[in-house]
Amino acid sequence: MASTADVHTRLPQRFERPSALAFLAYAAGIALVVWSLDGAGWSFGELIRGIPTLGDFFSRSWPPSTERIESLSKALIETFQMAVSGTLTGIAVALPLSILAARGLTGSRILGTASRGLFALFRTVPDLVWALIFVIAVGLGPFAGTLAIAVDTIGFAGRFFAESMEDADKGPAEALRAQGVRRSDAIFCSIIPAAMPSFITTSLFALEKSVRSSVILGLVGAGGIGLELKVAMDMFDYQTAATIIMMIFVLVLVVEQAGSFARKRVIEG
Amino acid sequence: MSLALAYSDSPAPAPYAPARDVEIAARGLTVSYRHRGAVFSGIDFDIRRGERVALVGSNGAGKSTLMKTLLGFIVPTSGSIEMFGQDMCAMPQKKQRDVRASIGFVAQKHNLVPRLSVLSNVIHGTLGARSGPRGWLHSVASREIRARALHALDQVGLADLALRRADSLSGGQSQRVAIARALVCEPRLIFADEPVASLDPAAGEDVMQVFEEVTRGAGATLVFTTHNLDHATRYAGRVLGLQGGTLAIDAAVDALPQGGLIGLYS
Ligand SMILES: Nc1ncnc2c1ncn2[C@@H]1O[C@H](COP(=O)(O)OP(=O)(O)OP(=O)(O)O)[C@@H](O)[C@H]1O
Ligand SMILES: [Mg+2]
Repeated sequence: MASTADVHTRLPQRFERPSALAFLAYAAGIALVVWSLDGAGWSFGELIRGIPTLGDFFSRSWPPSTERIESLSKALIETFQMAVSGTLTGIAVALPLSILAARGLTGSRILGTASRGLFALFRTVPDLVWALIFVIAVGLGPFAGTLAIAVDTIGFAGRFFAESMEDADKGPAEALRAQGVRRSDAIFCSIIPAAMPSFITTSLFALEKSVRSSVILGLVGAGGIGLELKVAMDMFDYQTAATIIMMIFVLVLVVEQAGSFARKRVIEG
Repeated sequence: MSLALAYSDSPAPAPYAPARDVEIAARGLTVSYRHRGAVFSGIDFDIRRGERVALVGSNGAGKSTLMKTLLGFIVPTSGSIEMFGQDMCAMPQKKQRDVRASIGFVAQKHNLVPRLSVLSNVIHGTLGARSGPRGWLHSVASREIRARALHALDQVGLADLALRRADSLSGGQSQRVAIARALVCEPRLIFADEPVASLDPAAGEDVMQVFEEVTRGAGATLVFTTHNLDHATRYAGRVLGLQGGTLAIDAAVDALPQGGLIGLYS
């Protein structure tokens, strides 16, 4: 056995000296941060000068106006309905596509690549852009927003559905296939049940995400309370704007709390 | 045991079939994975109806590979396989699936779908014979299928647990449910790849006994792999030993070479 003194001399360094390449990478990282701060017009001066104006905005929005609470509530409900129907539509489309997209499930590479590509496209184009496109296609109003949310949900949920099926234990499916069970039956009776909790939690996340984005979609005329917010802001009606912001806050909070409660139940069950 | 096997409608033997009651005939079987030499080569054996065969050999000897090849999941580089008198390598996928539908399979572990009921898991075993949503969950299965599944659970002594979730079972119980799932399609042949490797000795003994009873009762053929030489000699009538890419041992249990099977592992 080695003596204690010997062990001391052989102790590894706490930090390894960075290689030349790593050193370059750090330098490049720092340069990137500085360059971005500069390009984005970061300025403490402006921020400090902006504070009184912000204070003015807050003082002018107090007390929040309850005058139009009824029509605002209708718009808020419409926002929520857009979120729910868009999310459900998206999930309904994402499920079958994600079965194709999951690697090693159906054995069709072409369809797999195609659906993964579609998910990527739907995810990378921002929901606001989808909303603009659908407003052109189906006109102003909540249906355009619903479609935008559906597309956004397909991109988000499809990817996670596919990943959870890829991660699911293949043992039961393989045992069944050895008994002559078709691939499709094996997917439906073993892979999907195994991935179900993850499907549900993903869907709940998608709903929360949709509620947040459905608020924004109104800004481009795709239905819901966002439009009311834009109008109130444009008309300097800050008291109504404050009401709207609080309503949105409550809606998002309630949906998130309900969602995380439901997720907990699913994970435990 | 009332599990009647429909041997009468088994496929007509091909003209070159070796003998009427041969269930598996392997000739000159060679399998190699890509970027790797042969796992085994030139293997010949016949397994007859009703035999209980233990397949032994060290880790990596190729036992699982051999089973997958017999099932048609791996295409041999050369040689031929006849399952129930039909050339497994020459037939289309759909036909292979029909052959597999009369085979029961039990793996080492992770056999069951954890979130579903025991009964649903057993019913999955009928999907080979009849595909479709009614075989996915017990709550939508036909009365007849549910009764057959419960009967299979009865045979492994677990009918009481039919509605328990599969992930609430012990390892030994899970394996017995997997056996029930293999039995429910009234297989003429059962493959079991290390069925007791993750069980404690008592549960392992228990599961091997269930295998023995159900295959004897149904007149089915059993091929199992194991690292437990005691199980190999007590529960099988014949031992196939893989070593160094060849079938080093193919002998009835009472005619094993001097020194037994331990030589396979040197
Ligand atoms: N998919 C694969 N691709 C490449 N090589 C493989 C593959 N599966 C198995 N092998 C190799 O083939 C050989 C035989 O493996 P196999 O799993 O059949 O052995 P085994 O006898 O079942 O072993 P064990 O007792 O550990 O289960 C091993 O050397 C293994 O590394
Ligand atoms: Mg193995």
